[in-house]
Amino acid sequence: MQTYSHARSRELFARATKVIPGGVYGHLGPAEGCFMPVGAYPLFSSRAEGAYFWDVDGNRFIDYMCAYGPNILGYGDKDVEAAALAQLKEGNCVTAPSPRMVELAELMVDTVAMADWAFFCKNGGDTTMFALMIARAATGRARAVLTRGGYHGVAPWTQKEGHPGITSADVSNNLYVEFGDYEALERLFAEHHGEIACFMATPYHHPVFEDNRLPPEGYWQKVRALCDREGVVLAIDDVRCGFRLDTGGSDRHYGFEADLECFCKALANGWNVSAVCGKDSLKDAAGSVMYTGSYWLSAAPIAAAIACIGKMRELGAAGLCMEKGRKLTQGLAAAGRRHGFDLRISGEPSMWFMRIAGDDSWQTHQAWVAECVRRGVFFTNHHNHFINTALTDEDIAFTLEVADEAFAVVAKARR
Amino acid sequence: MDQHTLARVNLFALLRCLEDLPAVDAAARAIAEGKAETIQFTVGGVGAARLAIGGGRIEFLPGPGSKSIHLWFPKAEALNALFAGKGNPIPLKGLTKIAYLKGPFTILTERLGYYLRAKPELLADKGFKEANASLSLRAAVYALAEIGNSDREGRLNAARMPDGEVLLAAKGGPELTLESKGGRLACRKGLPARLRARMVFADLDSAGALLRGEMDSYTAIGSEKLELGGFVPLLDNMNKILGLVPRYLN
Repeated sequence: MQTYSHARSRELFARATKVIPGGVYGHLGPAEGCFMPVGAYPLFSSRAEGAYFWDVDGNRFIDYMCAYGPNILGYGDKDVEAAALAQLKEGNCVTAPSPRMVELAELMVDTVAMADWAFFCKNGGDTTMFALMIARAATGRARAVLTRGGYHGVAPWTQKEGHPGITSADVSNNLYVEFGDYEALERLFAEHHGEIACFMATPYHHPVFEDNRLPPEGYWQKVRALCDREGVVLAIDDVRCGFRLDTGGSDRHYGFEADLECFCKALANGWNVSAVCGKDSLKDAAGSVMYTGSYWLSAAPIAAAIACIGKMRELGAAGLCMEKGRKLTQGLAAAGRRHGFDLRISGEPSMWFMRIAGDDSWQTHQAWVAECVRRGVFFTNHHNHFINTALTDEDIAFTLEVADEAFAVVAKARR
Repeated sequence: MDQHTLARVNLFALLRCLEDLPAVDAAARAIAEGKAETIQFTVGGVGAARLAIGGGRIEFLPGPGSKSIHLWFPKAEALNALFAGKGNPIPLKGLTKIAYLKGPFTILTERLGYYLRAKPELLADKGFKEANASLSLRAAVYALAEIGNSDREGRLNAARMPDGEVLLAAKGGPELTLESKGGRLACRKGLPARLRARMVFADLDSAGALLRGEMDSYTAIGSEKLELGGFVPLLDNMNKILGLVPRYLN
């Protein structure tokens, strides 16, 4: 199998570093994205369609990062694009919002099981910040309980003291608990009785760098009851999982109801809109918080979200992604076994995490992922992956062929 | 700035760099081949370290021990003042050797400063540029361990580092191992016994450019001038401490 090279990506990166801090910053960049070794990875794309993107050197990749989640129906889905483009012609960022905003709120209330209302922003971090502010406004309390390793964006309160730009004051209201440890959560609530505004967590634990963990049996039901008893707002960060586990919300998938639920990623198949959904009991508090942004009510992304939700419901997108993910991950693990590697799969199949077991320094895993990327299968090293509905059986078959060859290359180097 | 951490950086990182000065500098080599002396630096509330000079080499020895000259600094600020060129030590032993301190030892520290605080015009010289990069890399890595063990933010990040050994190196230049164990950091020369992560510059030029601030780390990574690999939680938290190094070395 031929391997790719990235001469134009490198040229563009060199230009970028002159005028952009870090060249490509954040999770799409080589540093935060853990491109190891960097030389195996493309740094810029030229176009995207369906389950693929092409880099600026013309190499095609089956994209298992899906822009880190937004791509759920396939890049450039014709129905979503048509809705957004039609709205663009009518008006987008205007002094008064479009009726599409009301339509999307109605659709979300109809789609998301726990939702009595919806509020729109732009990014996932906007929604988690808003959820925390609503909880504080509603309870008159300051503290938030978060899970260790949980990701809720990049606002200072979501980061760690000692990281660049973060002060102790930024995180002084945070309390931390292990995901899935109900007894520890109960103890923390007791120790800080009357101080906790909200418990914020992802529906299952999907941090970087470690095996992802599903909630233990009965965990969320006990947490729900505890929050009710203590008057704590239960805020679910469904930014990453939303619509990939259950179109009705990931809380429904695990059999409970959140008070607040944050959505972004798959909401509009790549168009920039995010949403907080909430229960009636928190509607006044939500309305009381001053929270807005220049582009939050822009109509084109909202029209895209309406089309995207409609199509996800019609296709049963979450179920499809789960099924494709199951097929793919079973094949990847089998390919590993053929070459003597124990590829461990964790998390939900529609957004699985993987690592090669017995690899204390992760160098074998990084080498295998790099060989896959060199052959046109875009994985990344230590983040969960994403499935989209445009992924075909042929794509999965090709991926498994690449994975097999990549394992063979790594096995040979190891000998 | 935290004076205690700065004193640890001065005592355990910068003085340690003198070990490698004779390899790149003729004046330092001549002093190392001259009269043998062991100088102990004792800093109240901080610790002690010795420099054994003679036999063609300079050896850095952490902790107190036998010495021919003993310099006492009542507190961290006193040592820091010396390194800033604004203070003097109190000699407890070797009063007759003041001339050595004012002569050869002062020359050594000045030569180290000459390489570490590189004037732009000197960087045109290939040998100087390499010496600057090599010594700067050592100073940064030695300082990294001290900052991780002492500075408040450094300790927060060191505590988040899992156990393991990280290789910090430049191809064609120094190879240093940083060991993280129980949230404490230690640095030694040479390759890790059991490498868990690596941060390796493509060459000394790249290391120098980054350490002199001519290139940022993200650019270095993306342009393959700096290769990262292995157990990322080690690197990720270590990098946060590396980000603090310029506060102390500049």
